[in-house]
Amino acid sequence: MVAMQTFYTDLSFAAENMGSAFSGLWRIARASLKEILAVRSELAWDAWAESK
Amino acid sequence: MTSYERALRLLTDHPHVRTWPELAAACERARAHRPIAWDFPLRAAQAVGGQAEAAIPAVAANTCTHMALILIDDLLDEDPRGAQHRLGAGRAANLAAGLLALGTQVLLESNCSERLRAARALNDMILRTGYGQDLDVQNLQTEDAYWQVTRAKSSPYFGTALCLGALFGERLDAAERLQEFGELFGEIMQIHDDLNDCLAVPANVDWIQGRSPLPILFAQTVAHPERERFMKLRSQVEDAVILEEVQTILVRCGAISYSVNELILRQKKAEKMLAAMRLADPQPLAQLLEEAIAPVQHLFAKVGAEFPVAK
Repeated sequence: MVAMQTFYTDLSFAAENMGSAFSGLWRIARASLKEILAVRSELAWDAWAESK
Repeated sequence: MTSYERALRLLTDHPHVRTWPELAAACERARAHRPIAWDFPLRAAQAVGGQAEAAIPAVAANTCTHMALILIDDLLDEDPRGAQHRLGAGRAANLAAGLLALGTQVLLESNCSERLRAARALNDMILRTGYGQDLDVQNLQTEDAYWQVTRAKSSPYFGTALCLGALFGERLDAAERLQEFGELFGEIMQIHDDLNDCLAVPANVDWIQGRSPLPILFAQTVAHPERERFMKLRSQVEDAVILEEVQTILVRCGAISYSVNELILRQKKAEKMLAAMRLADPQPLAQLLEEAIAPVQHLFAKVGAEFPVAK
C-alpha cells in the first residue's frame, strides 16, 4: 500500500524519468478516458465485480 | 450433475428449506446467479491435494452466505435492484438471517472431520463482514478507513472460501495460509470492483450517494490541480457531460493509475505467498491470479507500456 499523496508525487516525477517503474502508470494517467473505458468494456471489468 | 448443482441440491433438500418457501426460492434463484468465488472451496481442496468434490458442502455454505451478504448489502445501499423491493425490508432481513444460519448448518451436518472448525471459520467470517458493513455505512472518507473497511468487509469472504476448501481437503496446516491468501485476493477484488463502479456509464450509485470507491477517494484526497473542480462536480454526475468530465479527472489526476498500482502490488505479494505455500497443486489458485491481473496487463498494452515484471 502506497500513501496516495506519495504516489501522486512519484507519478508526477515519472514524467521526467520515463525509464522508471512508474512510466506505465504515468502513461495510463495520460490516456484518454475513451481508451480507459474501451479496456473496461473489452475486458469486462464487470466480470470481476459482483453481479446480481 | 456439476459440483455447483450438487451443492445446490444440498440446500434445496434441507428440511428447513423445504418448510420456508422464500428460502427455497432463494436457493432456486442461485441456479442462475452463481456467486462470485463460488468455486473457491473446490479450488482450495484441489490445491492442497484433496478431492475437490469433498468441498461441496463448503460451496453450499459459501453460496448461502453470499446470498445473505448481498441481501444485507442491498438493504444498506438502498440498491434499486435489491430483493427488499420485491419482499419488503423485513422479509429480506429475515431471509438473510435464514441463509446465514443455513450455511453454518450445512457445514455442521457434513461428514467433514473438521466440521466444527469449518463452522467456526464461517461464523468468524460473518462476524467480521458484519463489522465491515457497519464501518462501511458510516461512509468514512479517509485513506486509512478505506483499507480498514476493505479488509473487514471484502476480504473475509474470499479468505474463508479458501480456508473451508483446505479444511474439507483435510489439510489443516494449509487452512490459515489459504485464508491469508484469499483475504489478499479479496482486496484485489475490491479494487477491481471500485474501478468498475467509478468508470460505469451511466453513473454508478456510489457517485450519487456520496460514497468513495478507491479512485474517487484518491481524487478527493490528493492535492492535484483539478481537485476543487472534482469536488464541485462529483454530485452532479447524473448529467452525462459532467460524468465524462469527472471520469476524465480520475484518469488525469492519477486515480486510475494509483488503483492499478495497488492491484499490481497485491498481485506480486499474492504470487509470492502462493509460491511459499508449496501446495500439491497451486495451479487452481495461480489461475485466479492470472485472470485477475489480465485487465491490468491489457490496460498497459493499450497505452503502449510494458507491464512491470515481478522483482
